[in-house]
This record gives sequence, structure tokens and C-alpha cells, in this order.
Amino acid sequence: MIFTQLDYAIFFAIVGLTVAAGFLGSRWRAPDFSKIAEWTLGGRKFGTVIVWFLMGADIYTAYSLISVPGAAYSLGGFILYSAVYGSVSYPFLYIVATKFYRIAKRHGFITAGDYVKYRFNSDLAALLVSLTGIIAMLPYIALQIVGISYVLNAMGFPVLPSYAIAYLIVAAFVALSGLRGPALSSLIKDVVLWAVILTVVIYIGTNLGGFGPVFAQLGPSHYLIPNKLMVGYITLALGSGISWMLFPNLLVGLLGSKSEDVIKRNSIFLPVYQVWLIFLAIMGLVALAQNLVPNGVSSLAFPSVLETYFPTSFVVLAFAGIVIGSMVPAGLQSLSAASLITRNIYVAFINRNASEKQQVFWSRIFVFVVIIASLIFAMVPAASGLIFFLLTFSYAWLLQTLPAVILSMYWRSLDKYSVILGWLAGTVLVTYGLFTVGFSGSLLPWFYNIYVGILGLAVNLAVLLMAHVVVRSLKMPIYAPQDLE
Amino acid sequence: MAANSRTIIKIVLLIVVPWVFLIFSAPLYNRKDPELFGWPFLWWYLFLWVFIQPALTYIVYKFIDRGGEV
Repeated sequence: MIFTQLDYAIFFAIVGLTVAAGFLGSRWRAPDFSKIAEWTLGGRKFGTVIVWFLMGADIYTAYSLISVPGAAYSLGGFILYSAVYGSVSYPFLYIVATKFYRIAKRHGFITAGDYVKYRFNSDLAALLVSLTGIIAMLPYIALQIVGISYVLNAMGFPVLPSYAIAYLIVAAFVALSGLRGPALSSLIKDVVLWAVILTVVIYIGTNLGGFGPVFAQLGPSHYLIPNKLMVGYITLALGSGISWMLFPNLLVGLLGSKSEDVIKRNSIFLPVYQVWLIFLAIMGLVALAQNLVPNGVSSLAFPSVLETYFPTSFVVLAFAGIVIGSMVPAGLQSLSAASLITRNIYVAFINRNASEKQQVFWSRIFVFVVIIASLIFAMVPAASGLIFFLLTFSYAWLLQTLPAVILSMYWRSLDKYSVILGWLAGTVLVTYGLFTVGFSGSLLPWFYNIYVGILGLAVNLAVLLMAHVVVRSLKMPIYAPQDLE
Repeated sequence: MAANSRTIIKIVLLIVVPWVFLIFSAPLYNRKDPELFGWPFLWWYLFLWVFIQPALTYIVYKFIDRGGEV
């Protein structure tokens, strides 16, 4: 499609405004960047509304806009797992995240690694949890990067240089502003995306006379969950649902909250975003029913719908939304990975006496390192496949830290040996499982299409329990801090 | 209400209910009929839960935790 100069102006205005907000974040709410919590967590001062925008920007990203319609287009009803797991996560977070928040705030923890170090008095356990977090962030950021490639393509930009420019700018504003940057830019990102999605749904819904005809035309075989994928659907929804707090980028938003009450209220109001996912999945069905997608490239499902039904000036608005919907979360994700590197590798192993000012300095450097690593990762051909699966790899690895981060809050006598051995078994199994399917998916066809993360967690917990029995019978000392509340 | 029974209600509403109705009952709700406005059961059932679940969380927040009071 042909874009006019005005269209390009609209596009750059929105992207530019978002970037400007990211930089302005450095002056927002009286920051004192000699303190690490001021930079990483925005000083733990965000109220319900900011956290809602921030976490919304973080969770509902270019991924939702591209891969949810894409997966609905190619896989049908199976994609509804993504609408389900939010409804499983938020209430779970209501109980679990508030407890974690209390512990973290009292002891001044910035990352999950900080907590694990304190809980088990073990640098190794903290390192493993942190490395898992860092490694899981790379495909996730790469996914944000790859997610916008077709927008850049469609608008006639050279893709690789555009990636590099866009994400180095992201790294720059995150380095400067810390969490305040993405928090402020998320306001613009979410407002644009809400406007775009509601407009698209209402316009297309009225245009087609409701979505009933779309379902009727496709037939149950496409819009229902295939029976052979039922185990995959259940395990993927469960695994994704219970692992959210393990994502370093989401933890940053939770810990940036001003109080526990902010987290509780957000577990009530964040699910509103789930409405997007169901409607976006329907957009994938619309693309299929109307046969809009050229060459059956599933990632083009949503863009094709836009291009078919809307004028170019609206299409660029949506495109800008997709681009900032990729940049803002990439910023948060790189920030959270950078703080793990600083706190749990640099401070723990390289410079134990690093002042808070030095920590802020190194975090700023590591933001660039993480972004550049992700850019390289995004060039790997595998990353450009069905991008919807990329995220499920991160979930699978992160799930293996569940005992260390979540279980350990409730199970006081849990010891570090069991946790480490369990993690090892789970991680090996997940990696082996992904290897057996050539990293092309995360459901294992040789085991009822079960989700690799849940199988890993099951093995993880089994090994953990066995190790725990041994630790107890050998009467090895078990470290448990008294004030775990 | 004793603190213990409150914890139990919380866990049931916030963990047991969504796991049962949204995850483990998937083979039961994965069906076409009854339709609503042309939407297959699977789709409108899950759409409805996008609203039911926050309502349950709100009930816990407002009545079990007494909304913001410590």
C-alpha cells in the first residue's frame, strides 16, 4: 500500500512522542539517581493507575497484536489459551505477589535474585535464578524486535538499520530515566493501542454484521481446540498462568508499586486488557474467513485486516501503535535484565562493595549490552519463524525457578540443595525437550503434546522432593531466615 | 470470620475456581453449542470469564480483605 507524506508524519509524531516521554521520565517525580531503587523501581512510588498502564504496556505488546491474530489464523481456537492464562495469573498474583512485595520492600530487594540470596543464603541459587531471568529476557526482547519487522517492511524502511536505531534509542532513554522512562511512555502506548483496537473491533464488527458469520463460515474444526492438542492447551495455560511473577520485567512493575494495595487493585483491573486478546484472535479468524492474508503468512493476519478495511492514515496510526508496543516493553525487559546482571552478578561476584551510585552506573551500561545482545538474537533465523512460540520458551525456563522464588516463601524448611538440584533437572529437561522438536515449538509430540515447561516443572519438583528427603535424613543444616514476612 | 477461614475462601476463589473453570474443564467447554449471537460456546464462555474473574477478585478485595484496610 502507498503511504503519503502526511501518513509518515503521523507515524513519526506518535513514535517521537513516545520516545520523548521516555526521556522526560528522567525528570518525573523528583528522582534521586544515586539510589538504585530510584532508578530500577522508580523509587517504589507508582500508584494504581501508573502500574496499570506500565504492566499493561509490558504484557500486551506487539506480541499480542501480531502473534495472537497470527496464531488464531493458523491454529484456530488453541490460541485462546493466551486469553485464559491472564485470568489464572492475576488472582494468583493477588495472593503471591503481595507477599513477595512485603518481603522485598522490607529488605530493600530489587530483583528476584536478591530475594533468593537472602532466603537461602546462597550466591549460587541466586545466580541460577538470575541467569534464568536474563536468558529468558533475550528471546522475549528479540520477539519485540522481530514483531515490528513487517511494519518496517510495509512502510518501506530498511529493516535492520531501523531495528538498530529504534532499540538503541530505547536503551538510551531507559539508561537515562530508569523505570520512569517506560512508565511515562507506556501512557501514550496504551492510549494509542486501546483507541486502535476498539476502533478496529467496532468498525469491523458492524461492517460484517457481528462476528457470528465469521465463526459460521469457518466451522468448528477451525475455531475449536483440536482434541489432540487438549493436553497442550491445559498445560500451556497452567504453566503460563503461574509463572508471571517469575518474569523479571513484570516483577519490576510489581515492585515499583507504592503499596500492596496497588498490586491488589491491579489484579482486579488489569484483566480488562484480556478483552484485547479475544478480539485480536477474532481478527485472525476474520483474516482467514475473508481470505485476506497473502501467501498464508500468519503474522500478517492483523496488518492485512487493517489494510483491507481502513484508510492509510489509520493504518499508520495502528502501525505506530505496534512499533511503540514493541519499544516500550523492550525497554522494560532490558531494564529488568540489566538490574539482574548488576545486582546478582556484578555486585555478588565482581565488586561486593559497589556503592548504589556505581550500581546505577553499571545498570545503565548493561541496558545497552542487553539490547545489543537481543538485536543479535533477533537476527537468528529461528527467531523469525512463528514468533508466538518464542515466548513460550521463556516461560518454560522461568517456570523452573518457581520453587526458589514462590514455593520458598511458603515452605520454610525448603533448602538450597533441593532447589538447585530441582532447577538443574527441570532446566535440562526443558532444554532437551525443546531440542527434540528442533526449537520449532514448545509442545512435545512424543508425550501427548504436553507443554515442555510443565513437564520440566514436574521433574523439577520430583527431584526437589527426593533431594529434600535426603537432606533431612542426613540432618544437614537448613537455612531459613526468621523474618520471612 | 476467623483469619483461617478467610484464607481458605481466598484460595478457593482466587486459585481453585479459575483453575477448575478455566483450565481443567477445557474439554467440557470446548464446544460449539449453545451459541450466543453467533459466537460458539467456547468463545463466549471464555469472554465471559474475562469479567467474572475480576469480579471474584473484587469480592475478595472488598469483603474478605476489606479493601485497603489493614
